[in-house]
Formats: sequence, C-alpha cells, structure tokens
Amino acid sequence: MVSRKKILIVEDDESTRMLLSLFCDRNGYHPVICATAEKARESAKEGLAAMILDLGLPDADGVSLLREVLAEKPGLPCFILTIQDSARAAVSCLKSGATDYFTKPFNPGDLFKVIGEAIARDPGVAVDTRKLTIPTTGGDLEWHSEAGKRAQQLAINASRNSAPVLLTGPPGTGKSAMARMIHNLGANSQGQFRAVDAESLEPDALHAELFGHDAGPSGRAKQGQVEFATAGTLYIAAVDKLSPALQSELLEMLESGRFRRMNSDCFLQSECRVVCGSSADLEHAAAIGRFRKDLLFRLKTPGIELQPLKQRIDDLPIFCELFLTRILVRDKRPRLRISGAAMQELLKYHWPGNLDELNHTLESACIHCTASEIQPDNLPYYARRSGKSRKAAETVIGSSSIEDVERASLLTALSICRGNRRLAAQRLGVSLRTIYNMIERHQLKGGTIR
Amino acid sequence: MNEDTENHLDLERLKSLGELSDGNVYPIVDRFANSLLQRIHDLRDVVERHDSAGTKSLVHQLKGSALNCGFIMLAGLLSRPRENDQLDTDSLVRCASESIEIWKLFLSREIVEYPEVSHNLSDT
Repeated sequence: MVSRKKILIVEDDESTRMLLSLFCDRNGYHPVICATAEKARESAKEGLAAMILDLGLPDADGVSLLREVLAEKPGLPCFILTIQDSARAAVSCLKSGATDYFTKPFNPGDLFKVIGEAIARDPGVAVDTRKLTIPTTGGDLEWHSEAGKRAQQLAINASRNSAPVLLTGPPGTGKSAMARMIHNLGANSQGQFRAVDAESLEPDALHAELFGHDAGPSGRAKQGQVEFATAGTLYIAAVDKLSPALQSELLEMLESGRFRRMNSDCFLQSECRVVCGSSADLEHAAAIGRFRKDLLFRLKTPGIELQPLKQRIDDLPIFCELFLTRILVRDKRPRLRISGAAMQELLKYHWPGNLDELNHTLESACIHCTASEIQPDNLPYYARRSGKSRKAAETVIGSSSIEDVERASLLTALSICRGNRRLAAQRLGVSLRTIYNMIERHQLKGGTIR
Repeated sequence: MNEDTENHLDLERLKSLGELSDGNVYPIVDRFANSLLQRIHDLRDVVERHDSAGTKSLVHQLKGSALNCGFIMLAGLLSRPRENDQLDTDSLVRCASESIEIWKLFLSREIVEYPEVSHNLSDT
C-alpha cells in the first residue's frame, strides 16, 4: 500500500479544521491536525509534504510559527489561511517564505489544486541551502577573470539602489543567477525573488503571470508575480519577447509603480525592484521598432553585460564548485571532487552552451562517477574530446600538461577557500610554502590572475 | 428558499461543498450550526468582561468558521464592529437563530441526496 503524503493542518477553529481535514483526505493526502502552535511544532518534526496554517492561533503568532517551521524544514510548501482583514499578516507570511495564501471562505478545489502543484514541484526532502559550504549570494565570490570581476562589481553597485537593471549576454551566461545575486545583496533581500520567463508564455498568459488577473466567470482572482515580489525583486527573463502592450505596462510600472491586473480598471501599486535579462540585441530591436526605446533607456541604466564562459574561463573552477555542491546537496551524496585531469579537460572545452552546459556536464559526470573523484572518463564525450582541439586549448592554458593540472588544481583550491592560502594548502595536501611557490610559478597573486 | 434565505446562507457554496464531498461536508456544517448559540453566548461573556483580546480572538474564530460554513449574514455582522464595545450580541443571536433555521431546512432537502451520511448528523 502506498503511503499518502502528509499535510499538516494548523487551525484552532474546529469547523474549519474538520473541513480542511475532510478535503485533504478526499484529495488523497493524509491530514495531520493541530489546534495549537505547540502541537504543530511537535507534528512538524514528521515527514511532511505541505502545511496549511491559520494565522489566528491561541498560543502563538502564526507568522512566528511559520518561520519556526521553515527554519526546520526550508522549502516546505506552506499555505496561509486567513480572513480578509488579516491580509496584511498574510503578506508578511509570504515575505517569510509562505508559498501562497487563501482567504476564508476557502475553495477546496482551488486550495488543493495549488497545494498539489507545489508538492509536485518539490517532491523530495527540502534542502537547507544554509548548510552549503559555499557563499550563496555571489557577492563574496572571488572571481579570477576580469570580465567576472567587472560584472560582479557592477552587480554590487546596482544592488545598492533600487533602479531597474538590464542584464545582457548570450544564453546560459548566468543572467538569472546574477539577478538573484543583486536581490540577495540589496536592501529588499527580505522580500521575495520572483522570476518570469517572457519567452515561455503566450501574451495573455504572460500578462496574467506578471500582473495577475481579476476574478472572472471562469475562476478566482490571481495575484501576479509583481505583487508577490512587492518589497522584493522581479526578474523578467527574455524581456525582448514582451509584446508592445506589456512593454507599455512594464514601463508604466517602472515609472510610477502602478499596474493593473488583467480584466481590471483599478490600478495597484508595487514597489518591487525589476531586473530584466535578454540575450537579444536590444539596441537593434529598438532601432527597428520591436522594442520601446523609452523602456530600453529606463532599463539599461545600469546595464550589465555577461560574457560567454569561454571568455572568462578562469572562473570555471568556481562555477564547477558551485554547481557540484548544489548537485551533491540536492542528491544527498557525499563529497565529490573534480580531479586535476578532469578539470583540465573542462578548462580546454569552448562551452558554446555556457554555464547551462557546464551544469549539465557536471550533472552527467556525477551520474557516471562512482568514486570520490570525477575523472576525465566520467565527463561527456564532447568535454573529453576537447583536449584534442588545440585551438581551444591554446587560448586557455599553457602547453605543459603537468603544469596545466597543477594550475587547475591550484585555481580550484584557491576558489573554494576564497583565496586563503593555508586552507588551500591543506586541501591540496601540500605545505604553505609550496602553495606560495605554485602561485609564483603560475603567475597568480592572492588567488587572482595577474 | 427565497431571497432572505440567500442573505443568510451562501447556498451555492454549500451545494458545491456538498457535491465535492458527496455530502460529507453537511455533518460538519451541522455541527457548527448546533454549536453556534453556545459560541455566541461565550462571546457575550467575554464582551461583558471587557476582555478586548479575548473578544477579538473569538470574533475572529467565529467569523472564519461562519464564512467557511456559508453563514454569510452572521459573518457580515461579525465584520462590522471596529470597536469590541460595539459588538451587538443580541443581533448575533437573532441572526444565528434565523440562519440555523434556514440551514436545517436546507439540510433536510439536501441530505436526501446523500442518505449514507445522514447517520453522521447529530440529533440536536
């Protein structure tokens, strides 16, 4: 018999508790019912798929309980149930990490549809990203390439004010990660980060996704990502794909903070910070009339251009460490290293798919590697064969293979240890003096290329 | 069922919940209806003690269950007072009594569709 996923229901009112329990059961979940925060804390230790929380509890503030549960179970889909006059508290819950909120009277069909979708998106055990041993904001990573350093500094500068930011660069160069970094470093980092890909939705669906829609005959009202990201950051990927109408709506919101849901004449206000990404040449698009010039001017100050990975190949070890750690934490695997020889192969490859391709390459390598160190044989064929491509190799690395391996290992260790030579020496199993000699030999200084 | 009935109860919601649950929602709503006068009585006690926090908490709770159980007129009355002192519990009792009466009538008609859940209804 397949065990049903558990949903924790925290509700002090008996009638509502029984209704939720009934519909939870009828939707195929196992309800775990609590009337108090104290009991909820105890029940939250069980394996849960989601939580439904009423804010008005007799023995605790619902927002505090939400924070406690999410501190224990980061990523757990949590849904707030409230009455209309508690909407302010519900917004506070959203900022604290709740997935969504519903007002009473709740519609069981809508509620459990959204819960089901959230559980489907997050079927596994939530990963506590705080346990990552690497920085997650991106602002404190020590990039080696000039392009990486420049982009990082521009992002840090941009994070200090609330002006919109335009990120440009070929696909897969890390625009969304950069947007998240700007959010994490900014004053609105306590708000939500929301991302919308303008290329993946039809205009009407995109409009509803961005700005929401009012209740119509076919369903309930829906908040847009703009509302979720109030006091946070909204990232619009492929902004060049916005229709002329949506470009106008976006421009209006950037200039006045006002926007309208679909099917509504009422203006709402949002204070979200907007970051846009594009792989297209927006200047050209504006010149030929496909993109509003005034919107472009509004977005591109400041603009940050992200270079293809091959032009910042010295940052590759840092990206490898970032991606590898995420994969290992996600898959609950023990520590896995990239051997010097494998790193050399990765450094030689020209990476037409940029960071996305690197990520997939490491995913593949992790699948094929059963030992504690990724070897060249574990890499996909395209990455292994690149060593035979002298053109790619010569632009990246010197001629001596032993030196290449040593340099790659050194770069990796310094990246992981954020430039700390003593820690890098311990990681490589060599003396501190040897590290200094290696840095000198490879023309590195403080972990950065001269 | 007339216009006054619809002012008291959200019949559309109740029917929809009934269909979604094969009638299993009705014993829950009935249990709420049966507890209503006692809950308002408890609320009156708290109001008379000038227990502002207690009043707010009970009003909040009662309003939430009234909304979920389709007792919309009662929920509306509970939404009105901004100051606890203004809470008119006599009006609440009158409204609740009428709503309960209408609910019982509605239930007697609807439960015919779901005989298998009728044994879950309380006797009161």
